[in-house]
Amino acid sequence: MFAKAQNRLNPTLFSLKILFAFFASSFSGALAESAYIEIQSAKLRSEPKAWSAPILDLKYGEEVEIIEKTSSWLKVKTKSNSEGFLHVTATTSRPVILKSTATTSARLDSFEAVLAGKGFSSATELNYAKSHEKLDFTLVDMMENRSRAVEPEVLAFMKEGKLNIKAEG
Amino acid sequence: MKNFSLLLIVLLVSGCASIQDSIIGFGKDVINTLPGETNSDEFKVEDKTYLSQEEEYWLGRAVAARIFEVYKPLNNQKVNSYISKVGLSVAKFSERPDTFKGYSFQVLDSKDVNAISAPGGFVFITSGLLKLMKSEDALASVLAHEISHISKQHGLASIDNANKSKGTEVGGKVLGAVGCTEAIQLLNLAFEAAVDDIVNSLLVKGYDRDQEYEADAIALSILEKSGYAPVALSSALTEIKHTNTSSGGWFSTHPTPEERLAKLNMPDYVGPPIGAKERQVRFVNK
Repeated sequence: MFAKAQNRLNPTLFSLKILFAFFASSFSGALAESAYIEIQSAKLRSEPKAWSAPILDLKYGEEVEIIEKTSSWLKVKTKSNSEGFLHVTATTSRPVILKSTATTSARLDSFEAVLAGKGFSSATELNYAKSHEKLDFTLVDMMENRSRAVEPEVLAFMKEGKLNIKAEG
Repeated sequence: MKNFSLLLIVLLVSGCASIQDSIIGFGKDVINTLPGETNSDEFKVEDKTYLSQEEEYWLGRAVAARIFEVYKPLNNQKVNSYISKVGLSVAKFSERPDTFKGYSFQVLDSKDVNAISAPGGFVFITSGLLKLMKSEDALASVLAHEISHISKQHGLASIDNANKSKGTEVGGKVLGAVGCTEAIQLLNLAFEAAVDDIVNSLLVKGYDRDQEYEADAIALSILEKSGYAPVALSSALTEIKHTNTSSGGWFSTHPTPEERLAKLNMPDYVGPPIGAKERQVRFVNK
């Protein structure tokens, strides 16, 4: 009796399965959300912690697929199929148009087109420096370079100072 | 804001769409679209309120250069490297561990008691304030406060507060403008005005009091998370309170230490933190 009833339901179940498969595929398609790197170089990390081992460097504007989200971290998959974690603040939901390749009005000559496409950029700084001749941007460069130089030593520094590297990221 | 809206309209008419991002970044909504957050309206051309992290970085560099106009850098590689390591460690526990090109730190050669942060990740501390700090944990609390201003983009928020006169001036100049050459000039003028506003907030006017209290609250959470002693923030504020200096620098741009101490929601003291001894050794030897 039970078997017969089950047999009678099979066409319905089959239809439902088809429907489910259709909606599931549509839904998973909708969930394939992208994020774009919004900083010059973002480290894809093995754990959702800013000090965890980097897997690889992702470039400005690179698109990644979001696998999971928390309030602070995204688990992502890169185009080369590497999986890891990115801090949400290093990304944007907007596709990043690299400004050096932005298109502008055909009325512009190439120099203006480049300037116009960049928004606030090194060109803006150059103009600012010209009108403020006393400003010394080499001091800013020096400040930046120092921090870049000590960055590789920071994890050891954190460990030496017994900081809480087991904390949630 | 009204004046920057006028700029936007002119740029839309002129067809320099790619510049819009920079100009409209001055909208008040930019502070509600922090890095990593999604603003459901951000794809609407008529309501783009987004300033990219790269643009924030270029603004920050100009602000940093202006700070170097007022304060000389302390040319002590050892101290600067140490401060950088403490700052970079603290930043990793912050709400924004990375900025466009990362955080940078610099000690300023001044007896003023002051710490300053510029958009995009530039953090300064005067040797006067550094001398008041008795431990790495106290130093970390000051840097955590400044990093919190950056993560909350308080510097960018200050642009919207005080640019009325410059905006009017710029607005007047562009009424009849059409081409992109003019738009580039506008971009430069907008950059200039924005840098002025931020510098004014950092060195003269100070941030809003609520922003200062918010930065303290976030700094406290960074200290708790990182393993630095949360009590170090109140120790640092107490040292500042007891200093003989009572004007200029920090005092003219921040609420009083007493007001800030009163607002701090300190966790219960649980004894010396792990690693305090190791950190003290390197702090003394910096």
